[in-house]
Amino acid sequence: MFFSLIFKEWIKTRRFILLSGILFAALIAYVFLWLSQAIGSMGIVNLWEAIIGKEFSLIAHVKYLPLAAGLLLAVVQLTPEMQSKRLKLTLHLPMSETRIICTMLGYGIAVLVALFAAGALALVAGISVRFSREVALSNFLTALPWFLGGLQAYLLGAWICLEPVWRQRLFNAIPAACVVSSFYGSASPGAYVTYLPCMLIFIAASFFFPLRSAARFKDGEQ
Amino acid sequence: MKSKNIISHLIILASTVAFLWGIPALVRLATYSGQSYPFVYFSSVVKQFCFREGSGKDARRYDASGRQYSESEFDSALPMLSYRQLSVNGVMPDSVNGRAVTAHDIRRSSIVFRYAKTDVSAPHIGLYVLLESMSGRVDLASPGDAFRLGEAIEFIDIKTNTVDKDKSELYAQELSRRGFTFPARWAAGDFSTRKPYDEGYFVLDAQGQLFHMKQVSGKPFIRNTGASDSIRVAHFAMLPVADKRFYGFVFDGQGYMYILESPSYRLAKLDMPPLDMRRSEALIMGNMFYWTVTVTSPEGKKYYALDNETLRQVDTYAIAREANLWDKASTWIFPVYITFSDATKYMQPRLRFTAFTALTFNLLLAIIYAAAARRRKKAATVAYGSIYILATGIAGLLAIALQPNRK
Repeated sequence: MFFSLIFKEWIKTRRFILLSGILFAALIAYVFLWLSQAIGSMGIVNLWEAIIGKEFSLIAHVKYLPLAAGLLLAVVQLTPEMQSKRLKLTLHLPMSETRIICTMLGYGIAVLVALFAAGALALVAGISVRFSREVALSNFLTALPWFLGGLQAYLLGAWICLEPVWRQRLFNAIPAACVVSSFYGSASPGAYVTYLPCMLIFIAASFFFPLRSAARFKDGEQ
Repeated sequence: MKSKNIISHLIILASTVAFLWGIPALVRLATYSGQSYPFVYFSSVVKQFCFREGSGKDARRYDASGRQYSESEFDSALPMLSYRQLSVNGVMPDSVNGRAVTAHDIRRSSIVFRYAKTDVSAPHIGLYVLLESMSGRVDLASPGDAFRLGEAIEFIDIKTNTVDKDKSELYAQELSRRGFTFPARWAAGDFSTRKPYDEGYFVLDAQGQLFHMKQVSGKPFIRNTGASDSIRVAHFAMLPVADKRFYGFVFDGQGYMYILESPSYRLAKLDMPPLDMRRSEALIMGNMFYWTVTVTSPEGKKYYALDNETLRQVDTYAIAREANLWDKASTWIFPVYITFSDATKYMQPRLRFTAFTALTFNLLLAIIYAAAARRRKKAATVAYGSIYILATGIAGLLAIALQPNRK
């Protein structure tokens, strides 16, 4: 049953995964193209000095991509469940509703982690060709809250999408926007290191939020 | 679902935390207004603090005794600041305080230094650029390499992105020979090429000793400044000054400020109270007679006039900060709220307590909630909600109100 459920999620999201994979690859390719042009115009020495002295970021272009990916995956994966109340059929599968929703969310998290990990790895590997490990680490630490923001947006997006009442969806969106916006402040590279534990606690806590929306759906809230 | 209630509580708790940050941040944005302080500079002519409020035709100029000045009188009272205007007007004095002065002398002895409270707590990439201090050229030039300083020193050739083993070994040996103990705690310097000269870096080693490290004619120049023999060095800020009187400012563990004189490495203490380095900021505007030190703290601004030669305090002045709308509103609406600390460049959430007076507002909210909910909810739920709102205020109320009604 578990693998059948995973397969069902795969059917719903495979086009999204393909498209977002292409989009990530294209944007990362653009970052490297832009970087090679910056090296050509500024010179590699000036670029290093801008990174060291002026906190120049090499990956600013990817800032909101994980956020968009997280939100879109929640919509693509869970909106079909809410259309014509198909979630009712899903919740009638011979598994507990908690396990069903957790499996669905776990699938989404796994997809995003794979996508983000591949993206982060490609960025770090590409930067490491012309820059030292400190520069690669600094850029990774800059991007880490953005990627975590993508996971957070997915889980809160799922909470909103699975909510059966439209007005309540709007109400849920208010604290959700508040939490997600705290992941995207403008800060120095590495400044979010001290906020990471809070981010992880928020992500871990919000994994359970969609369960409440699903329970409300099962209870017949309109 | 068995855990439905637990998850509901978790949602309310997470929403409350989000609102404890989000709502005060929005209210602060709408109500906070920075206080407008006058521009203050110590006059080397009238030997008093002089003030300018506003700008243009509406500007008001006066000194600490209350005497009002016209624009040209103000320029004449502050020749160390207005020497360019006085020179253009042809009224630049030949001497001030019995000492012959020229525009060149004034420019050469003028300094401006800023200390921001985030200077001591900011993420750093861990790479530095060491310029050649004595290249024989007028202009400073980028060396084409960078170095990392931690457990060891390693120079990285920027073009090849590889470690320059020879240069790294040369500096490691010289540091070791001069008694430097790895790992380095921090290094302070300025690798901008837009400055009159370069003095490399001042590095604090594992033993708390402050070392001077620069490159002279391609060779390492390493010296223990000995500054740590008399004080516990907490922070150093490099300042290239035209007359090369000192290397920069040293802060000790208590927040006292010193200049590190050049080339003797002698510490000269600024005769003023210690700076609360996590809460206060400082601006120093110095000239050949006096330094005007402005210390800005949440309580207001304090001004110190120091004698340029002895750094002894000759005058002081203070302007208290007036409470703005945010200060007043927050003490009534938010007894506690979450904010990101402004004492560091790290994103550090902090719980702030304002005043117990705001608990009155919380109590009012709790009563309104209890009155509104008592007919629709169980007594226990109402009691729990009221206590929660009493503790968390408007954030808790909004978190409860936005979630579906529980009986």
